[in-house]
Amino acid sequence: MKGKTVKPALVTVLIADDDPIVRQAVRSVLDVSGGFRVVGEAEDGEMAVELVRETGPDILLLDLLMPNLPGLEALRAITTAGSEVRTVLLCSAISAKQVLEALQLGARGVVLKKKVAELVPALDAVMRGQYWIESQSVSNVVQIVQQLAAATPQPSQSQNRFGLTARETEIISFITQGCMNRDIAASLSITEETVKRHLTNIFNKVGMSNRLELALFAIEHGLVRK
Amino acid sequence: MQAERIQATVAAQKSDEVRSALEKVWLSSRPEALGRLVTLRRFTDSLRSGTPDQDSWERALSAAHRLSGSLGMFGFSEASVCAAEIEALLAGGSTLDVATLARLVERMRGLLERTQASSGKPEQRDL
Repeated sequence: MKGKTVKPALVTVLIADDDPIVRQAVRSVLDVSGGFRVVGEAEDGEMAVELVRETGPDILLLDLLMPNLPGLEALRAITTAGSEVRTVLLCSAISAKQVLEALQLGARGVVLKKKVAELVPALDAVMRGQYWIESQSVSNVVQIVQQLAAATPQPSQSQNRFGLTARETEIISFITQGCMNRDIAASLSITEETVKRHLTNIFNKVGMSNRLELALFAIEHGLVRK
Repeated sequence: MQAERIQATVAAQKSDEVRSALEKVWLSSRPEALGRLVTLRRFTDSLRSGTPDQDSWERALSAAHRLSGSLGMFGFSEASVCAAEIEALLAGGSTLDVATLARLVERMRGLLERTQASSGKPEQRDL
């Protein structure tokens, strides 16, 4: 008896772009690449939010500049609604500041339209749980955030230290550099448990819940020197 | 070693397929892209003869934005950059320099003509 061949599940994709030519081009690229199924097309931000809720795609390809609701606002609405969709921005141009904001809002990658040939590797990386930024797959997104922050104009050193101690600020600096707890512990000659305790206090003081959010928060509020 | 060679071959085939698929889409989309150029030319003419209404302005801005994004996808880098310049100029609002806009729109016309002359083959591929 022959065994049944189990086809791998297709990755479902929703395309949100106001330009029908772009949507058609993206659809074609995904069709010939195999492994993807386009479950919907949205021509503005509001429709994107609605279709994400209705179709529950694995991936949302989202343009930045769209009528009714701009891409980042649509992303904010989708994230707030608790959707598990992995969002990849597909745009003509994007600033480092916008990339930072998109990551903060839960985006998993950025692909420039002129580099549409990178779309499939980008979606594959994102489906593996990685990020896709600046034409490469990224595991440690905090390091990328640090690089992007260096290219982004910073506000002056914040007067409001959020009640952080000198040691906690020091630890935040390590976090923005993408350091792991063991590296921080070794650098400061303390135990990993102590690092964890400091991190818990930091999270409580600034109201963040993970390292990426903390790094973004610190950069945004000038809590660390570049 | 052999697995890597196979993987590279498959990747090259996929890349050719993507290229070919995009060329097909471009050929079918070209009339619409030209329509966007017409929108920009009409808007430039209306600027010369007076103050265009807000709707015309927004249509022109949208046309430039869409041209910039789509042309880049098909590998027409120079035309995409030109469209982005037009978009930035239109987004500038009342400070718009009509002569600069007319020059850029004319340049865009030339670049789109070149895509016809080469049978839909982009002048430069980023793929």
